[in-house]
Amino acid sequence: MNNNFAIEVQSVTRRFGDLTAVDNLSFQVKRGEIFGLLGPNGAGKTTTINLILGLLLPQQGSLRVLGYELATQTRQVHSCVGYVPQETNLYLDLSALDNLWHHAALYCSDLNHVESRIETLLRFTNLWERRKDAVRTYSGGMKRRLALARALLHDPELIFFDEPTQGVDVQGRFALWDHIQEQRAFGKTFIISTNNMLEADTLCDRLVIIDHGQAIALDTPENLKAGLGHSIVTLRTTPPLTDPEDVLAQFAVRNISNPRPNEIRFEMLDAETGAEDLIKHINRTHQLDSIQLSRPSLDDVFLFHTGRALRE
Amino acid sequence: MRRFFLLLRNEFKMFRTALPVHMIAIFQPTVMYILMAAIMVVPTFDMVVVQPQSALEQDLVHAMRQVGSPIGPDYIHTILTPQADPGHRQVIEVIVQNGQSTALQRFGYIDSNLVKNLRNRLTAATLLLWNQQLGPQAITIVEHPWLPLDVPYTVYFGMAMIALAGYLAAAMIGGYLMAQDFENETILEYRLSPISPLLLLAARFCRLLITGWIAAAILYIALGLITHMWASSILTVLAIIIPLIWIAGCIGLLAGLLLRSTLPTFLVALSTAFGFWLLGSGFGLAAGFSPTFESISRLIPNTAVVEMLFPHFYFGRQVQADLLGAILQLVATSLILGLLVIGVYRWRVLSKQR
Repeated sequence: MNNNFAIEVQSVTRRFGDLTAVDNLSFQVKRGEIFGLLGPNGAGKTTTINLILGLLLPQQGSLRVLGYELATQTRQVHSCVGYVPQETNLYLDLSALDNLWHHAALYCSDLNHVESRIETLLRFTNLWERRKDAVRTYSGGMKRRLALARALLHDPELIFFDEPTQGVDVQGRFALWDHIQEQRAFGKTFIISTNNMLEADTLCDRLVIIDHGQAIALDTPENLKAGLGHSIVTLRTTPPLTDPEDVLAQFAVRNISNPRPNEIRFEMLDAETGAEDLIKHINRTHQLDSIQLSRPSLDDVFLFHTGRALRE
Repeated sequence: MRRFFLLLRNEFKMFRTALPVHMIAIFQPTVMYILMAAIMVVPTFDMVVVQPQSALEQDLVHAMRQVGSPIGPDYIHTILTPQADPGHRQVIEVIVQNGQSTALQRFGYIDSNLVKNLRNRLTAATLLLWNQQLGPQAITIVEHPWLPLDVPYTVYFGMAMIALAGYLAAAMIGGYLMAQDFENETILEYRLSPISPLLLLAARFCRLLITGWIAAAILYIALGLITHMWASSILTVLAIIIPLIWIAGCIGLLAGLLLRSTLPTFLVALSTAFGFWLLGSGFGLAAGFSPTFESISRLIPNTAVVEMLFPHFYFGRQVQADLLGAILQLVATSLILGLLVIGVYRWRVLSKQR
């Protein structure tokens, strides 16, 4: 057992009939980290979370959460984790206070400080003024903040947050991100499952990209982006390049796309050194209106690893 | 203990999540009872008679007014009319047929059961006249009630509905809340909770018991106000229905856990409540029906409960031949269902999916 790790997933496999949802998956999450789980729909993220929460049993492999063996110490694990599911499962006809007291009865073994903790968390999530209103009257962002407050109520060491800002407006999104960062400062570990790459890039210390049940990339967002080794080049020409594959054939480019009629975008290896040659080459046949070189985003990393094919 | 009371308080707060269901489950039996008591169960029948002309006809009307319970209400309320009319539901006219006086009873748009009741009442009146004519040779029927009062049927009917009220509230609300937890995915809160499931279920059962008691107490009060018959002790009445509420709560929770959908759960609660009420001595003591029906009825927990309630509404009159057996039946059913709920809860809520 390594006490530095909040989660240790070791060669875990989970099948549903013929479908292998999680396939020999291994990763560790350090204590105090904000760790992202990324992957296309059906990649195995939810199954992974359910396995770590002890809601599913793995067919192979082992899981340790906060030093506890999950298979035999599920109750100890449950007392130390908080979970904010994707579908905010609050009692909509009850107030925020009632929802939190309900959670306290289920999760808090010591009820002495619950009242003050509820007040602290409702103030922290800016819901104190609306604490007596039915949750049904809350906005999407308020519901997510309340769900976070609820997950934090029993002071868990580890919090799972599934799609933290789905359906939340921009202000609500930033508020939630701030709340997560503030809680991390108190030593909490967060596991965030998200499809929002900006969110993953902003929040996560490290992240794993899962596809077909396997971990296909695991590192910090910076390293993952740098690891691609290419830059994104955006060109505007007059007239537009009608046959970019032929024109650019002599350069190490890939994934050419046409975001706009007179604009093409592609990935290019060693773009910083090869840009001058590229400009000269284009200028021979076209008028180059603009050229832009940028580092790849997490979207690019994600697409690089998982491809562009639509997933169901 | 503090945690238990907090769980219990939360259980009651769930009232707000299903207000209409609570209202229906708690008040429906009482509303039904009031309507049925007002509409259906009337001991005194209106009987229309053509205005008497002869002395015999006047004697018949007089005899009709004498028919009734020796310790209760009259059975006939005579209404005189100038002449028989097909529009009357029932009308009696004395005519002479083949030289003999005949009471001709004509029936309009009524059912065979009411025809029987009206004919029996008229027969009772003519028997009075007949016996007066026979003098010393008359065969007189002497009604000798053991009870000090002729207890109206609305008391029995209401007594059986007290059991129904407790059952319906516990089964419907228990099932509904459980199914709602699955539908709204709030069940996840319970799945991940480190708390003992026994404590959770204890709080839920306690809340269902209190809700069942409230529904039963409301019906008890309606029964008392309508019939002026109050059971010897409401506390005893509420104590007797505890096992039935427990059983109902178990059936509701099981339906919610297994079906995980509100509407089917609701229907299970409703159909078992009314099925148990009808089969479980809802309209009369099981012993008063056919042996087959009685055998089926004795399998239903309502029968044991109704027979245990009976003495408390009927001046201590015992109808339960095997009281210990009935108690054992209720306790055993409660235990088996309670264990089943714990098992199914562990399976449906707490178990890790393999």
